[in-house]
Amino acid sequence: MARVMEELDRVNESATSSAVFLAVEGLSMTFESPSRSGGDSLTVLDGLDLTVAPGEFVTIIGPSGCGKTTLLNCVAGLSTPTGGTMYLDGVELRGPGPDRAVVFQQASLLPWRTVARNVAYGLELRRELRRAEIAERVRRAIELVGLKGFEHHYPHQISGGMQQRVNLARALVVEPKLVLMDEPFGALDALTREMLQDELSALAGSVQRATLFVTHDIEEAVFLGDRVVAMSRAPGRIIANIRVPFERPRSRDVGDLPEFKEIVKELRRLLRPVTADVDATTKED
Amino acid sequence: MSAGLQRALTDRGPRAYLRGRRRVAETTVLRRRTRVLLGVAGIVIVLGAWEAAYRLGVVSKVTGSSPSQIGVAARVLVQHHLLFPAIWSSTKLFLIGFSLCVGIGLVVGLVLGWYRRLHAVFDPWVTMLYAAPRLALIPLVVVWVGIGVEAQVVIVFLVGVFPMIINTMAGVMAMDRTHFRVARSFLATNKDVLLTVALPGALPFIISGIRQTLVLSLTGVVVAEYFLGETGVGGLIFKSGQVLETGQAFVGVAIFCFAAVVLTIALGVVEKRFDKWRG
Repeated sequence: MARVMEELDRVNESATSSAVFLAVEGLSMTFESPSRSGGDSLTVLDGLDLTVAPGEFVTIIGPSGCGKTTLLNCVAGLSTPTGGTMYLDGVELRGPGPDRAVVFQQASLLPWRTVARNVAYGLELRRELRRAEIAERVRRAIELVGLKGFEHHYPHQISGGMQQRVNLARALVVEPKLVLMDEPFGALDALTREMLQDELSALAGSVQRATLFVTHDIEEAVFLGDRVVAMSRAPGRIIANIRVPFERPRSRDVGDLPEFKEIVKELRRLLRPVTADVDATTKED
Repeated sequence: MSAGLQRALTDRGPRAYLRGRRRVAETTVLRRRTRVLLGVAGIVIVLGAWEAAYRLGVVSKVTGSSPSQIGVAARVLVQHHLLFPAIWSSTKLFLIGFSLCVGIGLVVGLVLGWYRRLHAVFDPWVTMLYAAPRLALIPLVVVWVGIGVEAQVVIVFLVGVFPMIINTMAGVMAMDRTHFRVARSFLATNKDVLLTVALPGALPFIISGIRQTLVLSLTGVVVAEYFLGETGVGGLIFKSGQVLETGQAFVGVAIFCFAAVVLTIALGVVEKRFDKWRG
């Protein structure tokens, strides 16, 4: 017990210090097998530590099934971890909160609401603002993501890329301290993805707001992140923590710099599955 | 390439394996006017054939009837002040019964769809009662409620309420998990999720339930009027049949058909209003 208290103090200390905004300590997640007859339980996260500085854009990359989405869900408060603690700005996180907003993997828009009403959804649920204020904030958010003129369209009337813009606007409009993004561009075509990456990079550069961005695309992770956190296969551990030394907002040309290519190469080497190496050696024989 | 296909290609020339197969034709799209004209033509032809069959004696003049005879019967009923009171009586019964079906069915369906434990308890009962021939309960209803309007309403309710419950329940339970997560991430309460996610999502199901309940409620009205008090249009059909006044009986049948068509069209109009968001 004393040890736990000690640890809590230590985390509190680090969380309140200026350099740490989000502190994740010893996060564990084990999914019990659904059958009662003692099937194997699955440990997705095992004592994961992670910190995010104020205003920092951290990208998390790893093979599918490494628990990066689980990590995001835990920080979002949508999943309850089986172990560990999380602090945001010195406050312990338990469940969803007004300080965080999630940009979901699928746009997950409510099909019976127009673009504007979808963006307003979070603000309406929070019941903090008057109608006129909500309308004004929604108008600005829609303009920010470049959807002016589409306010009254229904989700089925706009493209997948535009739906993701609505998804983004819906999260940003509540002005969260921490934005959590779960592979938001994964399902888009390459051109739309690049365009949205550029815009997100510009947006994130203009506001001091911390972002946790999960992806399985190495170039995307390096292009967007101030720091790239690489995770191993389940149970997910952090295997690399690479600072990306370019100023934000970044132009596409960053991708041509040798340092950029070096980081991408290093990450690719780290994330290459062990089995692939085995295959390579057997082929050489 | 399989050996059979190879042989087909070389032995009988290219595409020989396709010969003798009827391929699907281009789908025919009719213009609205054409569809309406064809529909009306169909009705006119059937009624004309019926009238001809009656006049030529193919149909018995005693037990049979014809469109013109039905018209005559309708005029007689109106002259004797029998038709409109009967229609009004049936309309009242329908409106009360149908409203109860929709109102109570909606609430019960929402509750059972929302609370999984209640669903687990009551689902077997709903399924059982829906599958059971509920008209078998008529004698019991007579014992408990008598044969007045109240008993008739009970019959309409028993006949019509189940599709409403079942569809609403299914709609609420089919709630999209990702929408639920979005709502939760914005700190939604239970009531928020019900009103902003579950209910709008269930609306197509609910409307489908209303459609089925509408038709069944009409059936319920007929059955209730046949067996309990012989009132309204249903009673008119029943009494006319007993005295071989088939023309009058057909007047009643025609009224029910007309009511069903009008109500279904009206529901279609309402449905369209809620349908903007579906692609």
